[in-house]
Amino acid sequence: MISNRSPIDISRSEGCTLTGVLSVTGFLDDAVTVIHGPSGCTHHNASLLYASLAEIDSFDLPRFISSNVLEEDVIFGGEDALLHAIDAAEALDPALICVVSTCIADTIGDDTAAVCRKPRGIPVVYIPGSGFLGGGFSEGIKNALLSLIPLSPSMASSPEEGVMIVGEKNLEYEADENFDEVSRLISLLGLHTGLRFVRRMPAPACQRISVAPLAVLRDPSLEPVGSALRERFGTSIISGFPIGPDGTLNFLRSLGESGGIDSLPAIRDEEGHLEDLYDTFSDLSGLSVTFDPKSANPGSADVAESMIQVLGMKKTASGHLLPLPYDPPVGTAGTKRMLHAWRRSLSRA
Amino acid sequence: MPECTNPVWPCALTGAAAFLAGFRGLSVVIHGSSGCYYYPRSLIKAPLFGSFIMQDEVIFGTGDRLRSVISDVSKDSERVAVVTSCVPALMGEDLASELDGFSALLIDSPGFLGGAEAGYRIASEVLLREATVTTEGVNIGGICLLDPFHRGNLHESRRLLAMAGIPVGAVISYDRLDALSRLAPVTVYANPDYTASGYEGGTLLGFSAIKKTFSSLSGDPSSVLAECDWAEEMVIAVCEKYLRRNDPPNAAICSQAGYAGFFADLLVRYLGSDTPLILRRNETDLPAVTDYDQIADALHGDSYNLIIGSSYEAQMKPDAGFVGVTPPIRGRIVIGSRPLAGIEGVITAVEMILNALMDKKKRV
Repeated sequence: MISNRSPIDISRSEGCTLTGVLSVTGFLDDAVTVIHGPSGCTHHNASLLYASLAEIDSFDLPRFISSNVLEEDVIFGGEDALLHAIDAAEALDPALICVVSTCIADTIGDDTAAVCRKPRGIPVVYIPGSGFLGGGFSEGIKNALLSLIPLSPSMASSPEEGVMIVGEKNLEYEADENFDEVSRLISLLGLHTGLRFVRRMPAPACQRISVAPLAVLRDPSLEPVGSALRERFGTSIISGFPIGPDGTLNFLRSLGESGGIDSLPAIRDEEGHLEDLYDTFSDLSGLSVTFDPKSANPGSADVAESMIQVLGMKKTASGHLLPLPYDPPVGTAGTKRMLHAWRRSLSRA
Repeated sequence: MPECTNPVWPCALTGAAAFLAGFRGLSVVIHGSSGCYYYPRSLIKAPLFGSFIMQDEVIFGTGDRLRSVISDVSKDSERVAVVTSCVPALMGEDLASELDGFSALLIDSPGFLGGAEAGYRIASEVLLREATVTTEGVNIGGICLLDPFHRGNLHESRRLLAMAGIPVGAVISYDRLDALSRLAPVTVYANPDYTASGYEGGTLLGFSAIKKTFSSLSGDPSSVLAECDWAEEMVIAVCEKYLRRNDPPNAAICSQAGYAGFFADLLVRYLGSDTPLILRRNETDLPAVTDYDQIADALHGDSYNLIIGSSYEAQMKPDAGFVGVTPPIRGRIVIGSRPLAGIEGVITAVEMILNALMDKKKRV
């Protein structure tokens, strides 16, 4: 239950910056993440990731080391505790150590970044992660991606590298299904996906970030990450996964323009695919429906509106309340799942 | 304390919130960031409120924000309890004065003070300062919303006290807030790791403890003692039958100290096991073991065929029989009211152990 929250002030309630950071670094294979704060912060997040991963039958818990800040560290400073934790991480011989600060580390004034600069045989990346001192969950994802980009030296891009996928929502239940749909669309243009920055990506692969000529961001909110890639390496950026049928066709068009490929055949193919989809759901035509735009993600609401029109459904105030997906439906496959959910809901009415 | 890999036990803030959320009529506000709110909220199946403080409030003071939240929350509740998370706790603000004019309590239980049990104790000390002993009988203690067995323990504790003709004072903590005005002078504990100081009256874990506790209470213990004897005969019979075809289990227990001692005693006494490996989640006179790697190393140090713990340990030893007693328990549905306390608790525990061992044998 959330109290006294302004609807325009989502940063108050969207979740912790630290969780956002860990939803990225926890998916870097061969990396260890050191969390500078009380062990409770690490437990909360390890437990959340464990629960989220268990939902998709993945039980490989990422390795998080807490500096375990206690009362005396709060009084006398916690930098020694952090040094010990980084030493412990180094002893595990990972390919990369990510060090994340927390609210308490920043509030007591520990210079986490300075501690990370101590020369070591393994790269150590500092990522700001203090909850309310640094934004929310989305800010954490951005902080993590932006902090990892400098690990890549500038190298000439190579078409062989494929299309890099940036900032997948690793805690999203349908993350892999959404990736599969984007991969399918990319393949329609004769391209293939390359690095998944970051989802189950080997840490040393961070060095190849610059090689990807083209990158697709998961979500337009990652534009600062896209800008960094564009400015640093000249990477072409597609600003988000395709949302709904219109977004899917636009996505193919943008991909073609960015890659210098004629996208028309792919668009015609996908239009045929969409026509087949609409035929499959022609039984929904004429049904009286509605949805609640206030509680819906605007992207989901837009797709719902256009599907109601395309399928010839009637939107009325007293119509059947349609369920909308929490995250906007990705591509044609996501739209299909939404329509199946509508049919199931209508059949139970 | 040294660094810790993937710590597996919640912090003091969570324990304090769990204690307070057990009282209906008391609204609990977590004074901290959204991150400090969502995790307790996901574990504690009761309403919680949050102040969701942000950067500006950390710099310029959280008092106004806290007063605004309490003002809203107070509209629908008799009483409000504010639990501070790490940052507000060390900012040095006079939060108590911010609560002036509200029927509100301040519980200073930041995560850096320790584990869930420490927070539970801190919150109980603050709230029970207001309690008055006015009733004959016995309180039921050691009930915590974080404990997967709390409802079963409560039902079984009530049943045994009723058998002995002893009225129940308050249930700590699973009661109406006004129950604190009819506290009994003694408390029996279903889970001795969730204690409220000053009302000790024994525990209800295991036959010996049950007999000792009821023999010292004011009621008539004869029915309880007789049922203990009957149940123990039953336990001995099923364990002996199992042991006719199987060796004693080689067990490791990863749980709170009280439950660990309870299971260890059952394994040694009725199933002839050697003393099991015990890795306690909470600190007692021995240190807690909450480091994931340390637990994994310990479990891989021997060929344990029975793991009593959480799904973390089940995952570490997938070929062993598993009894889930410690959160998180994932991959299985647990919504019934199973006890570990009381006579039914012993029976349930033995049943879970033997079924886990037999299921493992079938898998092999």
